[in-house]
Amino acid sequence: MGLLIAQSGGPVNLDVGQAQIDITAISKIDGGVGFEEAATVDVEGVTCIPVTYTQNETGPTPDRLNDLVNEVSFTSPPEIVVFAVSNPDAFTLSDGTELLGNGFAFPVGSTDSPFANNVCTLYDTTLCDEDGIWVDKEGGGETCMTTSVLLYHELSHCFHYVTGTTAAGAQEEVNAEIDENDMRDVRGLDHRDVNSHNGGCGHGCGKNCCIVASLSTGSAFSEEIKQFRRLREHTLRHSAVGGEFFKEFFYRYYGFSPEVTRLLGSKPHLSPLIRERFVLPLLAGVEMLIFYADNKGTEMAKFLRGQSKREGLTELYENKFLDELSTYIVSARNFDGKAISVVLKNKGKKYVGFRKLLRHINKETINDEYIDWSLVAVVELWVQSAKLLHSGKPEAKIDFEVYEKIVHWIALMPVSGVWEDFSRLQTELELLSIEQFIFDPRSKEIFSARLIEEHPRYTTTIRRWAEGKGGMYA
Amino acid sequence: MLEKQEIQLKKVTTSMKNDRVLVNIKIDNPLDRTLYAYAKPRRILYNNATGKLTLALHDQHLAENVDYIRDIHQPHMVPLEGKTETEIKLDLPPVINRLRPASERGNGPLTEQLRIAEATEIDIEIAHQDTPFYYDPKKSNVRQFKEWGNTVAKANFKVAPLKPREETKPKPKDRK
Repeated sequence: MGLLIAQSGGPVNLDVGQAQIDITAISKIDGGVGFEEAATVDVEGVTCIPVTYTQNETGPTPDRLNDLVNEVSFTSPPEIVVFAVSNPDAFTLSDGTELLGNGFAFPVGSTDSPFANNVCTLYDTTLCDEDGIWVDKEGGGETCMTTSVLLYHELSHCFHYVTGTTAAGAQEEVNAEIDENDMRDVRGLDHRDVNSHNGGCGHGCGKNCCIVASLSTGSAFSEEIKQFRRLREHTLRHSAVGGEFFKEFFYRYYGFSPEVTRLLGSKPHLSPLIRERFVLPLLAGVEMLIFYADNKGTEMAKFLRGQSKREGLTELYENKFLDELSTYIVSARNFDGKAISVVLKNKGKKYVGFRKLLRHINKETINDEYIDWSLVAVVELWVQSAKLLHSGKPEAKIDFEVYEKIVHWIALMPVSGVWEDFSRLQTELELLSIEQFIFDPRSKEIFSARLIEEHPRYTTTIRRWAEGKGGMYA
Repeated sequence: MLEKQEIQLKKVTTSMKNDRVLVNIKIDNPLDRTLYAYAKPRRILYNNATGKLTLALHDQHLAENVDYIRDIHQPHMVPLEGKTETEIKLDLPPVINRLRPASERGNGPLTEQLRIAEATEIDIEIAHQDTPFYYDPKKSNVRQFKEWGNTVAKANFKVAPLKPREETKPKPKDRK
């Protein structure tokens, strides 16, 4: 064994799932990556999960992973142990230095290392408490870190330790950054300037967007991901409620996605299925909702017809596909084993693992209003709307029915605790801000009733907003 | 470059919110010009036995040459307007996990828990300068952080513990 993930570190929150995602990303989602969770080993008192790898993918990062896991260029001991720390602000080195926003790599014999005979690395999986980490970009400007790039950088140092190739002085950092750029190519990120070791927290480098979507579409900068970012950065996030919503959503999303990513790692054939049956319909739904907001709910049928003619989306609008997707959504919600068996019967090998994915979505959505409302319900909303194009109903009727569906969905937007901290004025301003989406009087009525129930302090202000009377800023 | 401490650490208040320790530090800048200071701790030390917490908002403790590799990024900075009192708000976990080196832990627990919510005194140390930090690619990160922040304001404050000191908690048999 060469590479292991620390599983238990006493009271430190170790994010094994994130480490597995990052290692899977380093392998380029190679199905040959495995994590021996049932065969943990003890490394100097720390329980660790061995990583296994049968290399199928090609390229510098799978090659490096193969070297590390299968000890191609060195012989263990030492092992290389990865500590993925998800509470870095509650974690310091022995001299009190904070981990937040930083990464460390310890060789054998380091006086500060937790190990006497093994190499290890610690990295901040929150990327500076979700502020993100920026570094200088090749050619000027800044580029963002992702957790997989950060881990790959630290593993480069570890690789140099175990192979006796650590360079002297600043050159070691240059060499690690040259390696890091290989991982940046995998994630579709700009290259880092290897002659500058500058970096810091923030600057719009929020935590990696949409890891499942990135992996299933093959690039962090694919068109699909750009659309997700557009929604995140240019719409709701400008308001405090929107910001809080995304914070809550990401918290859950990053709890939900490791299992999906692990599934993608062990069953890479699922990637195109997830892209076709989840990512693309979700994006089509998100686009529909942005259109609804931008056009105040008018001409929804015209929008859907336009969307159905776009390259790459035409197949999604086929009645058979929409029916199949409806069944998956119902199955994910209820997990009706029999119905799933019927749907998946004779589907062939490319569907192996799909049942497990539906089961996971079922488990994660039943009790989580954020995931359900913002992911599953959006796909459902879009499918129901798209199916109306096959109904033969007149344009005006379709307009009305789509509008009605969105009105009821949007009124159920999760109400977060952030409202509790607002003053009366802030409450009023936030309500005006979310009016971008919640503008129909019935949506406002339902949402305001839910808001008052949770946060009754400014009932009058909320009621006035719902009744369209506004206030001093209306 | 400043040659001596110019800011005054006037007052520290602590409180608990959502199981987080909030430390508010009031800083007076008596000069006519804006100064710049570290806004977040880079080193946290705590002694469970004495209840003394040290929050170092600087990198002066970092040795230039260590036997491991650290990728340390730029500190968060905050402007301190001239002739004005500024408040720095720190949001900390109630317990810090200090990584124990192999020489200390053997095969024992990986970390030592520092219960900073029980602190009875706080040493605050804040690096400040008369210009913002600008990166110099010709120098190592640690060297330039230390050079920029070599003027450190220090003060000690007594505080009420936010959680009862563990050794003073009544034993179960003492409870009525």
